[in-house]
Amino acid sequence: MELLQQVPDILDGIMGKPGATIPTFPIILGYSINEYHKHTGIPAPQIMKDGQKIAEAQMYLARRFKIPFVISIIDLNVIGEAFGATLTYMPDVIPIHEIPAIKGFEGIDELESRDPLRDGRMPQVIKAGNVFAQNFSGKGDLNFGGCEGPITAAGSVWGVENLMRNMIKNPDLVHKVLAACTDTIIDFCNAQIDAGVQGIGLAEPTASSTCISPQFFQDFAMPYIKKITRKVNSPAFLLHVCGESQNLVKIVSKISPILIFSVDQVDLHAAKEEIGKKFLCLLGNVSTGIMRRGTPNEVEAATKACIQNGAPGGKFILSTGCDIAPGTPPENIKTLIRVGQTFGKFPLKEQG
Amino acid sequence: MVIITILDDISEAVIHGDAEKAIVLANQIVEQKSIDLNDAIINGLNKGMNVVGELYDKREYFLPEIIVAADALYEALAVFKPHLTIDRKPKATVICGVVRGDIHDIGKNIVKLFLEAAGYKVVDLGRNVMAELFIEAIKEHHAEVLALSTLMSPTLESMREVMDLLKKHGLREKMKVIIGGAATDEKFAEEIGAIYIEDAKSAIKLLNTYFSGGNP
Repeated sequence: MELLQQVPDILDGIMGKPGATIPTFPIILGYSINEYHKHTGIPAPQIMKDGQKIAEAQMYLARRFKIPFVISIIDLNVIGEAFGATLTYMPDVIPIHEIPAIKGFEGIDELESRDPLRDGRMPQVIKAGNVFAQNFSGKGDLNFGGCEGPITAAGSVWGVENLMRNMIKNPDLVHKVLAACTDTIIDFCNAQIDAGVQGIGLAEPTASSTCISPQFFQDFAMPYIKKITRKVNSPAFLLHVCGESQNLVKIVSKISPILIFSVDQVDLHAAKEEIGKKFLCLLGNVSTGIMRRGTPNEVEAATKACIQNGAPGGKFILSTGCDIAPGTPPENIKTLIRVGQTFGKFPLKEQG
Repeated sequence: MVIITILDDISEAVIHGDAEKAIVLANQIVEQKSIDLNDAIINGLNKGMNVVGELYDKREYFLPEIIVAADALYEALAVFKPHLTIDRKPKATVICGVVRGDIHDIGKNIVKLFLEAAGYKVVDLGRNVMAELFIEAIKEHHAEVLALSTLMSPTLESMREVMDLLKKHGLREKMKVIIGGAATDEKFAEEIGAIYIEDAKSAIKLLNTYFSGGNP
């Protein structure tokens, strides 16, 4: 809450205060790389490997769409790459994961956390946070740092199939990989906070109920997410889980440092009932498929439905369910934001 | 009675992802010689995997459970393989792969597994596959089905690229093209002239209407 008090307009919108408007931040991560590449002609790998440019790409889109939010999470293989996973860098979009860092069971016992000031692209992401702190803070703007969550990171380090197979076959080894990833995430996020970001986001798609059971979420994700929220000196955390996450809402609402839960395939109305009186702000969840291929009218209808389900009573930020896909028409992003501003004014009107 | 029990047992071993037990049972089946191995595959292993699919639909199972079940199935198949004297005639040949730009292949692997279990020959081109490679594989294997997958929206355009290339090579009308993965939907499939499938089971159901003499 301390963080949100620095951005009164956003706080009023989240609290559903009469006269305030629902905050609207479509999720723009990898999309910023593709758009900035098209805008400047700079190849995507050069943007991805330069903190200054990562920040510029984010701020370029924030200004273009008048979004009061930037974040330095761009892709979900930063931790994996720091551990030695091989990525293939694409000329125009974010890189893809090719080969995990760990093959079979080799080296798991000796696995050590990585140095955020030295390994992979972590130093550049930290630098991006510093650029945000100097150029995108105050005056109602929010900037976040962060990275992939522990399960997603471990999937990049060990390969998703290996990770999942061993959740059943060798849970002790899974915990070893998760522990090393978690320690790295903690040091990395603290370094970003030191660099000046205002909050931390964790992207954890591999822990969604599309992939693992809510029980495995409790067993393998929760202890490490909790540890991160305890050990990272951030005033607030945003957790993003795309895919199915209805069953995770109640579990996540119990981790009090998590202020914002970014959800994808979730019934917002039912989710809010699960949360009850606890303070957990839902962020979501217009489909990125509609954003990419729908008409502005379809985006408008989906956005209105989203507001109708999620906004009554506040504790809601209007957004997309996941990262906006490259090639999404800017018109659709503008439509989402416009509908948020016009139909998202408190008190909310009944919509047809 | 004994036959039914051992097939049920191996089916259960798959369902529980118990590879060790599946190997032991597979060896027993081979040694007994009274069971046709094709029967053991269809009524034992595949039957178990079908249950796994149903459990995933109901979200009683998730990806870890599917992966260990698949491991058990493949281990048992490896035991059977040297003893399969007559090749099972596949219902059709399917070329599958994750399109260029995407490497998320768990969904594709699951569809492949279920298709193989259902009696299709599957040629898996892997992930991040160039459009041209699909064309080459279709020609080489005289495939009747092309199955394309992508999890991510950006790579939907790679699917369109494959469809365009199919038309260019005069192959489009000769085959069924199914697409799936989180980024795809019916609308997109219609747009590019393919058939959207939601999951492995619906893929089998659909393909069986074409390749099983109308008895899915």
